[in-house]
Amino acid sequence: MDSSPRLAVLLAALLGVALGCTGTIGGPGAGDDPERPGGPGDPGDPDDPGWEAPELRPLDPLARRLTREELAHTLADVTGVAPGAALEEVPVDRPLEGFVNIGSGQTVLPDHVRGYHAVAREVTADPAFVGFLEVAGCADPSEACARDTVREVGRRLFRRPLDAREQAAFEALFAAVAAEEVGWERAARAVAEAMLQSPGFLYLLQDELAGRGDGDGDANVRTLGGYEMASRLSYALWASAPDEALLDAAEAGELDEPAGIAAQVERMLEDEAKVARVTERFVVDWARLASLPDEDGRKGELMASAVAFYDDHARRGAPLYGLFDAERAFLTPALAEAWGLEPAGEGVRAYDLSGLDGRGGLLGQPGVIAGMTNADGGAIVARGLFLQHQVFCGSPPDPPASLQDEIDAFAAALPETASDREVFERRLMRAECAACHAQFDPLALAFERYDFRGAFREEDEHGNALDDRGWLPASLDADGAEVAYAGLGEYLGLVAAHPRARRCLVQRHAEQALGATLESGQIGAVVELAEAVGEEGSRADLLRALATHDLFRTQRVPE
Amino acid sequence: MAFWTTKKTKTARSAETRKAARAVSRRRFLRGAGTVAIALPFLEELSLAGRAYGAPGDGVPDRVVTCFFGLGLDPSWQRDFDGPLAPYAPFADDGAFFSVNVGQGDEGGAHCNTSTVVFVGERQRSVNVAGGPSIDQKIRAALDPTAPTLVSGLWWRRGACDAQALRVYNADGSPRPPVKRPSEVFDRVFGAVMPEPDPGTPPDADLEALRREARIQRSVLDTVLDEYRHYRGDRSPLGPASKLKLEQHLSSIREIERQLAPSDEVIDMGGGDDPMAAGCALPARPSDPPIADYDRFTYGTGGAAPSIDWREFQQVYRLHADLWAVALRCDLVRFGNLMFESAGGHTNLQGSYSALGESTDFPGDSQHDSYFHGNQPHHARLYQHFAQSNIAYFLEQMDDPAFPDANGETVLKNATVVVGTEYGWNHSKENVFHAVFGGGGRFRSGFHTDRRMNAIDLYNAIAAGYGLSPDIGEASGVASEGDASVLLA
Repeated sequence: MDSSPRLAVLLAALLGVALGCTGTIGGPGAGDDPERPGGPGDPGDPDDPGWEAPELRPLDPLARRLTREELAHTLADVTGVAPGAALEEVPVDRPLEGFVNIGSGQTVLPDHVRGYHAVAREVTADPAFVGFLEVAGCADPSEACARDTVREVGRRLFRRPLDAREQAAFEALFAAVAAEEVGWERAARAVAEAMLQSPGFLYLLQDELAGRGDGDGDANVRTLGGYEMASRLSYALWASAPDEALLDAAEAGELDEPAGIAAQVERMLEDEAKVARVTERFVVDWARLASLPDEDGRKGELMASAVAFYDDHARRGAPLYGLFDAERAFLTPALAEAWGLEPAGEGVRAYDLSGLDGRGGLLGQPGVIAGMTNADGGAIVARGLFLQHQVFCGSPPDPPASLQDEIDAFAAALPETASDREVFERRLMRAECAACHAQFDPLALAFERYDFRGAFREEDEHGNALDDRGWLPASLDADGAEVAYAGLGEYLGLVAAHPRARRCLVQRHAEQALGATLESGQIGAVVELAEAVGEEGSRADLLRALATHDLFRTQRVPE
Repeated sequence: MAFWTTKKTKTARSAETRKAARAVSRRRFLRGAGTVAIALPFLEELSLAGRAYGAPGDGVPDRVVTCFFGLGLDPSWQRDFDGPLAPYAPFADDGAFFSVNVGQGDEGGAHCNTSTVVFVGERQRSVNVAGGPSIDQKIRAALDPTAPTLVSGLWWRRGACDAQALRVYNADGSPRPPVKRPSEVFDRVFGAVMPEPDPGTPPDADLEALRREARIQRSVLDTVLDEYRHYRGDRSPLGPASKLKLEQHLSSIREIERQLAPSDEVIDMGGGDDPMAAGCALPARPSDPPIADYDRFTYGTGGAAPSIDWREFQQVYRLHADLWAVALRCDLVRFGNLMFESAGGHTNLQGSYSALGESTDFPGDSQHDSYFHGNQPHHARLYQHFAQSNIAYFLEQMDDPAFPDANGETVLKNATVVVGTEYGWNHSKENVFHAVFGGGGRFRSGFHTDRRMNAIDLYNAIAAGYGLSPDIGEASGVASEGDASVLLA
């Protein structure tokens, strides 16, 4: 490689720091994190010798609503009736904050309300729903049966016992409908219809203010109660409501202690079909697969391939960090051909890639490559930004508006047949561009031999030969040195062993499990969890460690 | 016929006229509905006894409706009623006609760049995110944030950005997507007023059974509302951030409450001869004419766009217009947009069309490619006549004296209807046609002005008519380019 772009990178380094282009949480520089690098709240770099984890700042509570997927799973698991066409009326969730279940990224529009109403009407009208309504063991017009029905249906739909106010309110609804002389079933259905549209069902709520003002110095922190833990566990591990055993464990106080939590986690992990829901959602959101275009009709295959890769990895209990460099792929015949492989058969099939240097790993799956390429700015920029954010948890800033004219002029001056790498090198020659691009563009060079749909190629559309050599930027290295790689295979090995990539993988999983984004106040917990997983620990080991960690079990009490 | 030579003939309607208008019986309305051959069937049995939403004060609700049409009008056609604006001649005294600049549209390519500026004014945040609320939502937020909104209309190709088919924006610039199927418009507006029978109800259920189901649905909704109110109230176990989320949910329920369940006060399924009930005679659910795939969000351009005979396109648009008119009369909708073709105008209309003493064969490829890139003004004149004649049809429905508001005036006179488009001639962001009709005495009408102004100047004048401070443009730094106070009465 020409050394001049590298020189420009070095010259731009100071400018880059000034623009806040190197941020990661718990890394050197905190991007747009309010706790600025070097400031009083800066947690520092966990890779620095002598680094000490700051005290955990538990997450602020925030009601979050069930995602469309969670809504469907919850209804099917709890009532035995899955929503049908009405579910289509619930707007599709968008992962605005990384994952669709992150509360701060969720909106509520009239379309949601309309969808929830349609789902409640449809599900409760299903003849099979009567079986759920009879959960109290009665179906007669007596007051006792009304009371028991409200109590038992409410406990399952609200995932906790109703309080006295709720019990009275839903009994009153039952009585009002029964007074229309429409029979027990209609009255019970009306109660369920109302519950299914109520915050107790649609939202994961907590007793956020409990304990405010008492305690000794930790008055603004509380440990979640048993039922709150039950819901947190079930939505984190199953994307669905607690089952009877979990609610019983909550009632018995077993979820107030780590041992009780651990026992439930072991039981829950055995239900692989339910755990697979969370795996799938992780891959779809993390790799941004839902927004893939489908003009070639391959979106479904790309998604299925990426999901199958992680699902297989998780079910085998393979080491979590091995996700990055496992020499396997799950491909359809068309995707296999796009990789120059002989199709192994119909549908998504496993392919052993050992011996094929430069293939494999989660990042190397065609769907994930397509996902990271599906953004503006050219493949290297799109991929680089994705990798910096999703793999290294950095927060690159938007291009400064003041540079827009220069960016336009730069783009206009490019030769039409320039390769992506040539454009990249020209960009790095300009200090004002390199200031930020040097932090993420080099991460993407390893993927040069894959097109925007993840197909393998030796040259680009202009006939330029492709080169997948590159380097990890100095800002990612504890010693501040660039680390060169000779191709994708070597790159994936570097990522798999990289402490920051490991922490980031843990952080992203924790964010999905908690339905919240993590910031510098939680970096200590992320470091502990990453260490707890260790070289051999699996995704299940991460979930075990997370479920009993204070990050998962405690919450700040709002002022 | 020039605007400035049109004699102002509008006079206050006499008490006798008002009485006569109100005395139109429901039966006559239903007959009338048949004779004007609107495609919307009505149910004789069902009508609203009063206003669904409950207007304050004099019983006349505040309503702001925007009407969009794609492409644009050559400035020379904007000065008189001899060309594409001929269909507005009957409403000359009710309208004020402007040409505005939308130069702040600078995100995205053609048809994307102005799409989030028309009816908004602010510079867009991104191609698909507006810089602020559309004018209807701005006024709604200030006067009654829970008032019902409807966003509907026709388009068959969206083009390069979602915003080409988006006309209504919330305060944060997020869009409210339009409904394309007439049946879905019906479901959203009227669905719950005539509740779906409970599955247990026999098919030959009488009105009493429907009424009973309506009461049950009302009780369910009241219980749900109480749950949300609890969580935002003083005894809520939630902190401020969570409370706010549930407050937003509650607002969303309130906004479409009338679609979820009828209110006890307003539903009277007996109908009767009450003239107000006649005004709110409820339509039957229309079927969707099978002219193209409604559910496909976007087609390709040029030959890949669907070919639709203009008469069929018109039939569907007028179904929307009919539903809108009834929704406004019944006070089931107060704000929103009715769209006649998305920005870019890529539907491939077919058929021979005659107007203005001329005729043309719509070419069967998209209006956009043929008229703008092909630069054939003759075709464009007739195409735009077609668009304006349909928007005028909507104005006509709102101006029907058989269905007066509580003050005796028509819906059109009381509501504010803003008609606008995306460009002047051929992608120019200057001289973009806009018109303001009605306004309930807030605005002057019966004139056309050549004054140079920006869209924000006009939108601020409309906002001022509703007592709002003229701050459109401040959020994104769009400067005034003229004075639109000529609009204000």
